[in-house]
Amino acid sequence: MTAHKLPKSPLLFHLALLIGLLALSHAAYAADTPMATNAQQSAEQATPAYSGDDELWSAKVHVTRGREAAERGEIGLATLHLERARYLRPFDITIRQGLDLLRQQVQRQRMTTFHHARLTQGEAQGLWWWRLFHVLPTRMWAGIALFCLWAAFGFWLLGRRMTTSVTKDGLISASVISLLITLACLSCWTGAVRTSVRLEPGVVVQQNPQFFRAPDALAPAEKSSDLYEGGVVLIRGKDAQWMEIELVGQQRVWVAAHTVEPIAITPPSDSTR
Amino acid sequence: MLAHVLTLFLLLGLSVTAWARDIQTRVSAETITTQDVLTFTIEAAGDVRSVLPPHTEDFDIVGRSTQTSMSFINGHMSRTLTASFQLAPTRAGQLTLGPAQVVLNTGRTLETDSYKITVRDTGAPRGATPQLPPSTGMTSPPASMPPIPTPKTAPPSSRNLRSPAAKEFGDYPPLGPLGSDQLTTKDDHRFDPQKPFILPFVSKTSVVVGEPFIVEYMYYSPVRGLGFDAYDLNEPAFKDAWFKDITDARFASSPRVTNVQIGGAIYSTQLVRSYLVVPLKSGAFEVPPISLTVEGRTFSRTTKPSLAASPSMQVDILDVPEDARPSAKAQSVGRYHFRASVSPEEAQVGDTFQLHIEVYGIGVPSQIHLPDVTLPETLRAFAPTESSNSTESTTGWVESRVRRTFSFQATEEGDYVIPPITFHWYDPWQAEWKSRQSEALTFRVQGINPNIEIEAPDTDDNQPLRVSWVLGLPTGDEIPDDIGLTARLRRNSEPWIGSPLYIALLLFPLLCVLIIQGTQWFRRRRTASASTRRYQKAGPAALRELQALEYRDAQSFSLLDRSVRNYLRAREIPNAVGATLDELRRALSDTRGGASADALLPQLEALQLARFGGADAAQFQTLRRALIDWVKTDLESAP
Repeated sequence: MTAHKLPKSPLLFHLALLIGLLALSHAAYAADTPMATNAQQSAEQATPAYSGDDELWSAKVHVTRGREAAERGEIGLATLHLERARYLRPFDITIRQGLDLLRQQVQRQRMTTFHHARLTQGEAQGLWWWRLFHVLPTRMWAGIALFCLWAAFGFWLLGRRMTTSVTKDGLISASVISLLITLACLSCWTGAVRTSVRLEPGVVVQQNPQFFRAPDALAPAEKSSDLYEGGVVLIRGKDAQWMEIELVGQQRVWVAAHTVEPIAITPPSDSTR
Repeated sequence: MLAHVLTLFLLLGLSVTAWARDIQTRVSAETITTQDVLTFTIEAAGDVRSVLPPHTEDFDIVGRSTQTSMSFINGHMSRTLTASFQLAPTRAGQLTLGPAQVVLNTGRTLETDSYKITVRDTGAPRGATPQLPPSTGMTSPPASMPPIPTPKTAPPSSRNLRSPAAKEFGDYPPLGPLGSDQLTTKDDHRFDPQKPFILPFVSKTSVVVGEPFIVEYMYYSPVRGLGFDAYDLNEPAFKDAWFKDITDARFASSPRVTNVQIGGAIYSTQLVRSYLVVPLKSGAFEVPPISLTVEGRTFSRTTKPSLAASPSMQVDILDVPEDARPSAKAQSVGRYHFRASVSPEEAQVGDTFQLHIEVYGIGVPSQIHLPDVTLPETLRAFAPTESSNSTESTTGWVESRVRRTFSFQATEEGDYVIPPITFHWYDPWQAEWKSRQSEALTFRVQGINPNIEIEAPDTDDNQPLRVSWVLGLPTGDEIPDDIGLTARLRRNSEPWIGSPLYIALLLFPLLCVLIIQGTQWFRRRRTASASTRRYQKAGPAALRELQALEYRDAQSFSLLDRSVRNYLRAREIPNAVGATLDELRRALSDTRGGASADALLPQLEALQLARFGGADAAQFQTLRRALIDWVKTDLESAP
């Protein structure tokens, strides 16, 4: 059987197979998430009145609370809410601009207090990777990777049987590009999983925060220009009263547990666990 | 190289131009009479330490004042030093004035412009050389180490100075001339009458916190054959006080050098330093000592240098009296004038009004506490601005002016009234609390300015004024109500590490590709193996077939021919079965060489002849053996 005599039925079969597999993957993806994508439920969730813990997951609510905190002068709390809003709506330009404005104010206040600032804003080194990988949720990274892999597979199936032509070159190129995107998304997915497990960023919400060298109230309290209200730090360990955090330069210190609040949102069921 | 030098000169020239651009000079007139007084003003902006007057014998300095203006607007400070010199000409003619010198904080000294002044002769000049005052009578001290005499009133200056006019805040407080008995010194100080000494003088020995008083140091040098040089002045440092060097002003209002008689000896006195001091803390205030290195000198010898130090004094600093104090917020000390004004008095809704409150008088800006202002609630107030400046008067007192400007926007039409504003201060020279109240300020808002957008003021009094940067934050209205796909995915417990179905779906395309590619490879490999096997088996098969053939009839020759051609087809000549003898010759020559073709072709021709021309068994056997030999030879020579 030569290529130019390939009957249409196998090609159609391959197409049907690809579509069927994609539909199957979508069904499996939907079954594994609580989206329950039907139009009626989406319409119900689009209502502005939130119920239960929906407020926790609403960027709108966090932006409103952040604005109110800023008006009260609680810059740390305002930063926390806007960071959470960006965590929930990572591509919303309004939230990003508001967060940039807030950061400028935080740095200005830091300069006023400590007469000292860093170009990196004094954040721990691992935070850059956390921010990179957490642009999207881990499920979305995995979904994009799966979709691109199947697209690459489809392009390859269509193009492999063709004689040399522009269409074949285009299909093979699209297949290679899809495969590269797949690899990139898989890397981001594994990176997001890894950073989620190893790194937990938090925002300093207390005014004039102090740190301790040991988790003991009798240890001398100190101040540092790298620990300031509205700053983002890494949480390395915590218990009921104390929290070990990492500042810039990998210096680990202890603070009172209420000094830092994690950016990642913890459902009430988890927090009470 | 030349270009570099030119660039360097160009940059130097630009830098000098930049410095000079911040210094401005002016004179009150370029043509005056000998009876007039000329004012030479120098304004220098930036980090300026001091301004030195022009050195000239054609003019006498009859007055001087320096004014430092600082304004804070939105956290930015600008500072301007303005020095004015009142100059009286000593003669008529075309005189040159200047240059004066401006000393920067960096130590660099810049020179100002010079002026040509035309002075017409209308009589004796005002700034004629003053007469030294006669020495005053002194009590007789002991012969050696006498106690310091009671300070005496120095004679009034012979300079033709204009008496300071009364200001809005009233008269200047009394201030005695240099070394006079209106000032107080340490009268139990003992000194060596043969050597120079220094005495401190204060204008008051008991002051309240915030009250300005004068501290000055006089140098007494015995007038005799041995002259004294003094140098290496050790400047005093006043603790818990604001202070300002007013030596130049005191020089301008008093003679520089006078002679006094103490214990029969005549001393030449000279002002070393004069300071205006404002104490900031109650308690005992120590006037710090000041010291000079003195060296006696005659024509032939020089004495060993010695230190001349002033004794220290104490001044009692009292708290501001609480009796009749109007309120706890009344903390200003000095002698002041207060006024308030609003502008414009009539405008439209949306226009900006300004309320100015100003305190002016004798005191320092840090001790002036402006009163609180209550604005109507329907006004939208902006951040106020404040500016202050200080001027050193010719008498030595420091006059300060503090001005605060409130800007606000009217959001509704109507007639507005700002209640009277009262400013309280304590006058330490009259020892009483004083106050001044402005009139109620009214302004009218009529019509609406169409070009300005009005924002309603906050009605909640407890709500702090929103700062501008907070207004840039999103309010939440810009965000959709739907929580979005990302939030839903994150809500379902991050991180998601996959599921068996997901892994299967991920691996399935990869397995498909592997299977498809593997099958193709296997097929290609299998096809290649079959052709190889055919190739290898063709030789033995042909030999077996040739050896098995027996002669029966003419058809037997055809079987010999077919066996050979089948062998050739399996061995690199695919079309050997149907080919003519010429085609076989060419194919054999291409694959095996001409010798092999020459060996085989005659046998094949003989087979064709025998098949159609009749032959016997003997010829059959001969041809069969020849073909077998050729096949064996071909197999041996093949790879």
